[in-house]
Amino acid sequence: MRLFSKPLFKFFLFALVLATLSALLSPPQADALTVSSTTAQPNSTSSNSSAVIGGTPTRITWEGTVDKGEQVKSLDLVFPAGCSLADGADVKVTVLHGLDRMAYLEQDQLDAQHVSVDFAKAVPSGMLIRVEVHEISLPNVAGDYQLETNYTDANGKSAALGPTQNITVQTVSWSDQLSDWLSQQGWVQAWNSVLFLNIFFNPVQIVASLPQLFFGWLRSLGIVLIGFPIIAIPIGLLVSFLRMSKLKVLRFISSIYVNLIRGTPLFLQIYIFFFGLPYLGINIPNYVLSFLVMGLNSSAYLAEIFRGGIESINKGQFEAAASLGMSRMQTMFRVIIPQTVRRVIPTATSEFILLYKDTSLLAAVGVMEQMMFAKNIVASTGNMTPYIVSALYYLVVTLPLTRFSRNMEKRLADGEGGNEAKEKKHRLRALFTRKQEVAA
Amino acid sequence: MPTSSSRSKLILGIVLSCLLACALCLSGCGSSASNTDSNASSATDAQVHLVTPGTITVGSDCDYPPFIQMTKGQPNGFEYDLIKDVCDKLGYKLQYLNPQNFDSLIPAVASGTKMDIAISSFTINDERKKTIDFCIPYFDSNQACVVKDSSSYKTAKDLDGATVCAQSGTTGAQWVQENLPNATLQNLNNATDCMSALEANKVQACFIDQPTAAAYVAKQYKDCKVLQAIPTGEQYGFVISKSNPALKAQINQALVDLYKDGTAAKLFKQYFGNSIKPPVEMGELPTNAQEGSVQDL
Repeated sequence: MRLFSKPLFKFFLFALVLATLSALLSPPQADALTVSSTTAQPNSTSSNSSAVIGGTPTRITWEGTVDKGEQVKSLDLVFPAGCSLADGADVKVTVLHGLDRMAYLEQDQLDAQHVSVDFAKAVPSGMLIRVEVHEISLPNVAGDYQLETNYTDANGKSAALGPTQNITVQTVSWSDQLSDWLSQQGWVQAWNSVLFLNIFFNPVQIVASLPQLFFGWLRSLGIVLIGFPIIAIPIGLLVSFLRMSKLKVLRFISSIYVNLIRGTPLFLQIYIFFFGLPYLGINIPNYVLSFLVMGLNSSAYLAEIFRGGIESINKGQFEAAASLGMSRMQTMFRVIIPQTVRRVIPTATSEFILLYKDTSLLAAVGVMEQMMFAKNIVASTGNMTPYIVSALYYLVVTLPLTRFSRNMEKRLADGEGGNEAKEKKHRLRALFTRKQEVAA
Repeated sequence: MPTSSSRSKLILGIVLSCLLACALCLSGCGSSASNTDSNASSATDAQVHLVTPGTITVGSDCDYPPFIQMTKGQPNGFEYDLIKDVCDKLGYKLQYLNPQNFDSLIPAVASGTKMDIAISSFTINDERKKTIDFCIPYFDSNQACVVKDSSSYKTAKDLDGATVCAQSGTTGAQWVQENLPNATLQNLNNATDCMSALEANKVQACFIDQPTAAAYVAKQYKDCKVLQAIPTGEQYGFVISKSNPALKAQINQALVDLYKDGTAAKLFKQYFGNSIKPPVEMGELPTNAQEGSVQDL
């Protein structure tokens, strides 16, 4: 029995599918408003910079566009349950036509449950309405939250739009919690009322920036820990050999290398490497480039330190080695270099300290290192305390190293006894050939 | 060689003397900041505080055309002309400091020892208002996402996950953090560095204020384009210390006058053609211009 011919059946089936699809896809009624985005300003001081945390004041921004042929008279945005308002909470409404800011008188009401915005004159189609709620705290429970949008059009007809785009809230980290608690303490408020203490030693900022700067500290340290032994020491050694070579050409080339690098600021070299190289089609990731620039810069200084170290070895040792029948290479690697290592360790350590401190220059070209982390917090808070905290992090590395370098020097002086005069001369040379940093 | 106990004493001594030096410096600067200007006609009871008497000292990053830029060592641009007119009206001399880092300007104004106001296309917002005050808004602005001509991105939101840059401490940087949570943001010192990073393919896009972006792609960076203008309706204001309400009142009054008598309109025409108009509020006198608060009209 065939009720339908086959093509007819196919047609019906097709129509059915089409109807279902269109019913599913098209909204049940045309809305007068399209919500384009709902976001909350990242407010965490510790974890990553894009995190929104609960229980801490933030700014919620809601944006919606009035649809074609429609008008919006009032808006009502319902916050998720559990929001709270901090001191100074307020609403800012901006109406834009394209990029032009429009003047629309409005009245708003804000409480912890919702914000309602009533326009004196209905906002016509094509306008972007932007509602910012300042100093509002989202619930202190991790999860996704939405705002519900209700509106009335020019005829007074109200409608509800479903939940908006998610705002992902993370739980408060211990440092955020601690800094929040600190900011409410009486003694902290008294301390912060002194401008100097507030700007440089704000306890809230210290607690907030310590964990964040730790990651910056690791990165800065990483840059020198890779750049120094892998690039600076081998190249420095090579260049120091070239500087002492018998061939004039090699001596010439290596002296140009050393003088060029030591004669120009590291800051300039960083700019040339980071902004210049890409124009030549050489595109190296930022971190790799950091190791390279820092390593190459340091290699020139190290070359001079190594050369000084090697030349400070008594000439008699070369002659003695030769008389034992050692080749020049053998003499170098078996006799001279082992003695040089001892002598250059203090100065090379100072060079390492210098290089480590100079990683801060990389902040200027957007490498995320310690200085950059500190700068970001300072930029968003206007408080200098993160710089002080950052200084402490630098000192954690530099102070022990300085002591190490000083002790080594002392031991060297004691150990060489009779050679002390020569050692002093060596140190004197170090003063002139490098940026002076050795604790005398 | 000092022994370890004398060494720790030495360290303590250094720390203490540093603190003392800082405190002395601050108190010294503080007294110079409280020099009052007797010539200025004081609009309110409070006195006008100026770093240099008789002169308004302005800090800026001087790298944001067409608002402010350095040409042959001289600052010039819309903002320079505007503050020059304000100073002329109030009978002050104008002193521009050498270009500063944008993110150091607000702390500098807050400390009140280096500059009286900072003018560097500062968007008025609540975070900044916690530290400093703003004069009334003088300009309506928006954000823009700038990419290279060859870029395949369609909208700014596509850049979530890309490496982008913005000037440190700007509302553009904030926009990226808030709206592109998965993007890697590089905070650079100034707008030129941002564009250099873009030109060098270090980043896929840079976020700067729309008028400057338009000026850049039209003149200096012709192989870049504005991918998308992002309407934010933010407004610029001069940054001024909270402890200087008298100067703020004077500047606000001068601004209102300049916007009413058409002087500002001429500047808008000169620098922006007909593309950008003065803030709507400035057409008529805002009811509380004296307080300089920004109204939601």
